[in-house]
Amino acid sequence: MLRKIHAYHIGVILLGCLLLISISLPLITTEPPVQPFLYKDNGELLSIPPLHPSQDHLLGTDRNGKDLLYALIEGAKYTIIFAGVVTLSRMIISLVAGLLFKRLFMNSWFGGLLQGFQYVPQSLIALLILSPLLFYELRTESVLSYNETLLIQLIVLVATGVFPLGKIIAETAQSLSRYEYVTCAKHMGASSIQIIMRHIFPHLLPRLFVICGRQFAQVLTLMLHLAIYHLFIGGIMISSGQEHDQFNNYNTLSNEWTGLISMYHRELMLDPFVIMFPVTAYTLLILSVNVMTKSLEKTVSKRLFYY
Amino acid sequence: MRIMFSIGKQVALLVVCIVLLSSTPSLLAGKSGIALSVTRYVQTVFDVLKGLFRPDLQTLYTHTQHLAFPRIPVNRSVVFLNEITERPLFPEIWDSILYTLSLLLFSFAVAFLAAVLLGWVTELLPSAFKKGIIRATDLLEALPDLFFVFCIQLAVVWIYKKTGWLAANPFTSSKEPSFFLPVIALSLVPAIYLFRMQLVLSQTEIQKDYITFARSKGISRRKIIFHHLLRNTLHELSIHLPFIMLLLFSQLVVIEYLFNMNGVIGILLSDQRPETRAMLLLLIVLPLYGTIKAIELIVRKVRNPYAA
Repeated sequence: MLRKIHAYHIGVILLGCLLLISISLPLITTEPPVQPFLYKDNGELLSIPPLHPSQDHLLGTDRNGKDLLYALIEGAKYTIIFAGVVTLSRMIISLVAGLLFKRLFMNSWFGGLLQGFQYVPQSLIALLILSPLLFYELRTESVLSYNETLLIQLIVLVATGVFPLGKIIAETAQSLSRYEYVTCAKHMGASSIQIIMRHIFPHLLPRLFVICGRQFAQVLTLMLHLAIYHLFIGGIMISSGQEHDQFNNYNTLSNEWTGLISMYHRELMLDPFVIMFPVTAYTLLILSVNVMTKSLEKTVSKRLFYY
Repeated sequence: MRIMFSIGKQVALLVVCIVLLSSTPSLLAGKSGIALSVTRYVQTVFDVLKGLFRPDLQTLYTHTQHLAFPRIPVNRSVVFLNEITERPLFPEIWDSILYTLSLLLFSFAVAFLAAVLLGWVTELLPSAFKKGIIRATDLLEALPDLFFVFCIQLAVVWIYKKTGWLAANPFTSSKEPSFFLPVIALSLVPAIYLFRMQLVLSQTEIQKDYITFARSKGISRRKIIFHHLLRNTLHELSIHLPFIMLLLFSQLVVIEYLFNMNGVIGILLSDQRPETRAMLLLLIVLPLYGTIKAIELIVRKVRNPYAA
């Protein structure tokens, strides 16, 4: 039977291709050498970076002469993989917690306590928790290694999202367990684990994919919000010849997209094309994720309607 | 009495949650590097609670870097000295709090009114237009929030470069705080979200029986829309208001940096004591909470005036 191809199939294939290219690119080619100045053949100065898009540099270069196309493709994997890992860990932890402690999440006291997450944005929470690390890095050399920074950021980003997500999953499970067959099963003496595995989980699963897609977009947004405050995924390198903080240049270590956007933000008034390419790439990524989620949502609600 | 108790409980739990959240940095960060410690966390929570009861003792740190000139024979370059000054929090902070709050509440109102008005106008359009508009909002809603901010800043600068006319100042200078442009940037995404919600809700509402009945009685389309449809969708719309508030707040966190505004969030994220942070967060969140609860109450009263 030939299945209909949906928008999310195309989206998954596209994301997979991007990931594959991004991973294999450093294996195939090396980064184009940084050219501080471009000369004509007779030694006359032709242009200085940022170089506009041309044959040599398809998307141009930044102010230091770094090739933007290479940086974007190389950084794609960090963005996608990091956001994916955060999303998956959030989903798994809050799925287990939401199903096991459903009663607790529906409790009015605990729910009231979780209300804070409805009024304080996740980006602010993550920034508050990570801010002590931020100061260490600003004033002195970074005290953490690359892996430690990554791990701490991962833990904090997962932790900020687990509570609200757990509540959503608990509420969904609660609404699913109101069906009559669940009550029947309860009266027949089925244990709560059996009810969860047999009756709730199969109906929860398609909704979980939709929630997962929304979380992915949310995590990407969160990463950009953190990056705007110079909290780059995988650490930061500050370069400046001067002592006043105003002159600091913040560089990403990993060419990760949100980091690139934040790094080039000051180019918005000078050479907008330098920032517009990362912003366009990032926008297309979020757009495709959202379109995928929406098409998934439509098929899920249609299927639920038919059964 | 019971209502009072439940509201009091909710507010108290919200305050507790904010206290717990604002002392979390001490859970992770030790004197040097990362050290997880629960006892230090509990200690901080108690300190914060103690601090909240004595607001007059709370202080604000300000970080400055001063230009200093060492003696010329020694060194010709200038040196920046890092300095931290400590001042009482209270008369000082009101300006920033009011600025941030007015930005948030004003954009909230702008987004809501714009969405509802646009929704009314769209309802009166022919249905082919409406479908196209829903498609367009579908796409617009999928775009990330900062995309709009960058575009607005770029457009203002571009217009200024071409014509010399500055529509609004895109960055705050020390003299004039920018207000107009941040409000637009803030309210754009929530307005799109609410507008789409309004359209979708009225699409499902229009298929209900009472609308068919009203139509069969020969009541004009315009009267049905204004009298029945909008009043009923408004209630459904108000369920989404807390989410809109969260969206606005999380955008403000970034927009404050991008527009270089002197709001509370910059202070909140600089090096401050946990009790100061808890106080600042409470001063922003509690008014937002109050606004949402008040709107919910008003909507419930309008919809069902005879309920207690």
